[in-house]
Amino acid sequence: MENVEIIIDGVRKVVPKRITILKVAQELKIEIPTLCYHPAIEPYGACRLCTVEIEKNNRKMFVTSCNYPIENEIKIETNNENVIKIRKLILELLIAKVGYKGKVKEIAEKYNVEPRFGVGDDDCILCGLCVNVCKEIIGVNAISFSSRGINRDVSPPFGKEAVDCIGCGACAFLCPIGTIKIEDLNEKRIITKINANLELEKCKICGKYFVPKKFIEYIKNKIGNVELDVFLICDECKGENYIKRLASFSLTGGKNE
Amino acid sequence: MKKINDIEELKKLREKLIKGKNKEGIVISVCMETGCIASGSYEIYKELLKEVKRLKDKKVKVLKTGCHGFSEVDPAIVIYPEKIFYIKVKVDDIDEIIEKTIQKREIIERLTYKDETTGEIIPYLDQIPFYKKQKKLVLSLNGLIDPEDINDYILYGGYSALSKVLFEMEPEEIIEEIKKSGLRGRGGGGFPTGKKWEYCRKAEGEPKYVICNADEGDPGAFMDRSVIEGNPHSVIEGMIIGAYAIGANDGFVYIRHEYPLALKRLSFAIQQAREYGFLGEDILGSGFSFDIDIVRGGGAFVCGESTALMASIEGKVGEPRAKYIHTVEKGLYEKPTCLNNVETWANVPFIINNGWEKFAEIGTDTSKGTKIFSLVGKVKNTGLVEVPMGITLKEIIFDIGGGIKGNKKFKGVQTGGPSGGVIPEKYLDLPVDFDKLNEVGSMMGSGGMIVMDEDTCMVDVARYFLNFLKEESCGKCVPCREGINQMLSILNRITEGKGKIEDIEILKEISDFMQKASLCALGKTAPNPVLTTIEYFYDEYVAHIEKKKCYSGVCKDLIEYFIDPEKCTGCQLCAKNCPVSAIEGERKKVHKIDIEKCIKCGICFNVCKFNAVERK
Repeated sequence: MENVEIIIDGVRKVVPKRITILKVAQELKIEIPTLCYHPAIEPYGACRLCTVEIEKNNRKMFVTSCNYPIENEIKIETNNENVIKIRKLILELLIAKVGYKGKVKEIAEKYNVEPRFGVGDDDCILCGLCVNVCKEIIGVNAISFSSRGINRDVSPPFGKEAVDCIGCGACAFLCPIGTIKIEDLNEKRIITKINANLELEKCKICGKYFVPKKFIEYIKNKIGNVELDVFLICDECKGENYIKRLASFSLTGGKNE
Repeated sequence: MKKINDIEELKKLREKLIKGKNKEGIVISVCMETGCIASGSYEIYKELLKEVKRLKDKKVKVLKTGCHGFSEVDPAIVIYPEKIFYIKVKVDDIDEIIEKTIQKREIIERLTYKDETTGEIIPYLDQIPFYKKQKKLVLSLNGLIDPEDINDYILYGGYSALSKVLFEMEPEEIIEEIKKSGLRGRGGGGFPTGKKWEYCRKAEGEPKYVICNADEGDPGAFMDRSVIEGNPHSVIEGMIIGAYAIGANDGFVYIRHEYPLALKRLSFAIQQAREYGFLGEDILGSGFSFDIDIVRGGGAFVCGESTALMASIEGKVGEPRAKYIHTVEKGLYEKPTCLNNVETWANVPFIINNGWEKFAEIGTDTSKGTKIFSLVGKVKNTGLVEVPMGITLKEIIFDIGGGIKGNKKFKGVQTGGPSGGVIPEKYLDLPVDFDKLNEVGSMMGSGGMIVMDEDTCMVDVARYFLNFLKEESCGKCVPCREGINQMLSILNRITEGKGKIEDIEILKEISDFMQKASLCALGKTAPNPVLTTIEYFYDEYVAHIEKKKCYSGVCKDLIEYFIDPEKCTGCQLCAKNCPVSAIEGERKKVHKIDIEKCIKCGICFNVCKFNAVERK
């Protein structure tokens, strides 16, 4: 792979071509805040919090480090005064929208943001992690962005029930402000914000409801010839089972390879 | 229609068409563009057809054409060969036109254009001031050809540029020609077209695509619509030439669904071009194949942004993505893509036919050729104008546009739509080109030009554009979505008289931030209306904030109407017209406005014959 030499925060560094600035920074333990970035998902570039200033061909400009591929010799400043000013204003605007919640609160405190535009109480910063994980990693597309401009929101098709949702919970796991939550109540799983309502299946061993039926169906269709029983045992029982089996192996002299 | 297999057949067809044209005597052309149809031109066209048929004179022909541009006087007709120009024609006038003008060659004075200041009667199109300073390259055939008849286009040399490039030029030569011409993208960015083509040709990856951006969405802009409605083949021919130069075999026209007539004419033109063999396999026997698909957009303003447009063609949500890797390398379906605007494509046949020198001799050092503007707002002669680059704003607004309506004072001109800025009086002598407009904080944009008079409140103008963008931003990135929202709240407060003087600095701060941190050009340019109005009309902001006054009388919370007892005659006209019965007073006695009830609609102000109603 071709290499290219860059200067990042005053340090000279040779990096592979087309690597993103954020990846280089992470390797160098330079902290750049992000809200819409996750290493498993294509960089989306929506929150702009990872903005850095670069100098290329004697021209200075601001780019988002998560998706800027380094092509030629550039000088990068990840934390200068201009960059901090931009990050502070982004956080200020997000606080005006959703208030002090989750990761927004955490980063805003680090940057000492003083909110001039008030403290809002919307439930979503529109980072897109939920939509993108559902599309790219799960492959279900149960939710999407709806409307545009100030009316943009995350929603299931036509704002109704998320009929395609398999209840995997990846969206809830990634939501940086904790808006999407999984609530299991006996045989039902409800996922807040995205309006999903799913039937749960019982654990074959302990009989506790633990996994959405649709999720099992989806896995079955994806993988094909796999004994479904494997998926019908809850994590706790799986763990217990596994230890029992391990124990039985050691009793037989550890013949298992 | 029979397929044209080679250049010879095309030449023969053209010769035949020219012979037929020479036999024609009188042609009555009726503009049938969306705006003209709305003002009644279709009824006139139908009536003319009926009446001319009755004449049984084969030398008289009625032609439906694209827009002549002078929207203010619609519906208008032009009678060739003399180019007699009749304005605001009604169906009832047609008998007289046939009898006097068509049969006796007399001019009907009451239907001609009259110069407002001198009162002079100007019967011929070319002598009308509106047309005098214009230079028509792209719109040269509007008014001469039937946009639904490919033969009309061929008659005037259509598709000759295509045959020239296919048989006499190498792709690199075409690109060189376009580069030398100095043509820059007419969609707003002003990127050199030849360079774009070159990058796309050199980019690795197959297949390559060409796209025509017909997603015109600026408030008050209708240039691209008029080009497609008037001469769709010029766009198609430009695209085929571009595709050949770049090495693409597939093209798309992305056009908004709100343009039904343009859509219809374009579909029709593509169909005809296919039947003649200008589109499809082995074009004119050259071995080169290319075809065009039409993709209809849902009317989202942001889909005019190239990456959002491409996402939309792919069937995805129309939102922009980062352009750190340019679309000429990775565009539609991640393949090298060359996207140009309607007007850019339509310029291509002219350059190929006439040579780059002919094109480059028009314009300024950095901006060549002509530019089409839709001249609207408080100007006397509204319409579609095509002018050489470098013409001054003053010439466009006062010579072509005839100055400000109702003898009001000029205040500013907004160019470039929501991404542009308001240019004040002191820059009226500014030569219009890409760079000069940028220097004063505005931009060329796609060519909207909104003229504003003294009754326009500049704070309200900034508020208007942000209000438009609040809903038309895609909403993906924080600076654009939330920045616009916050700026709009501040501007709303100012227009309500609740602003603080610090607000002006905050507006500037958010503007600067949006220019630096937004994802796409929509967000980066959205602050322009705010920044230019603050810079050039600072006093108005201060008046709204400190004096709580809107001197233009626009911001309702900051104005009051009252009746001057000295002037009021007690005629009761205002009281009768008040929609909320806020005016009381007996006949022949002084009237009074109840401030509590008044909704500040201004009707009393407008109806009073004695100027007794005052606004403060």
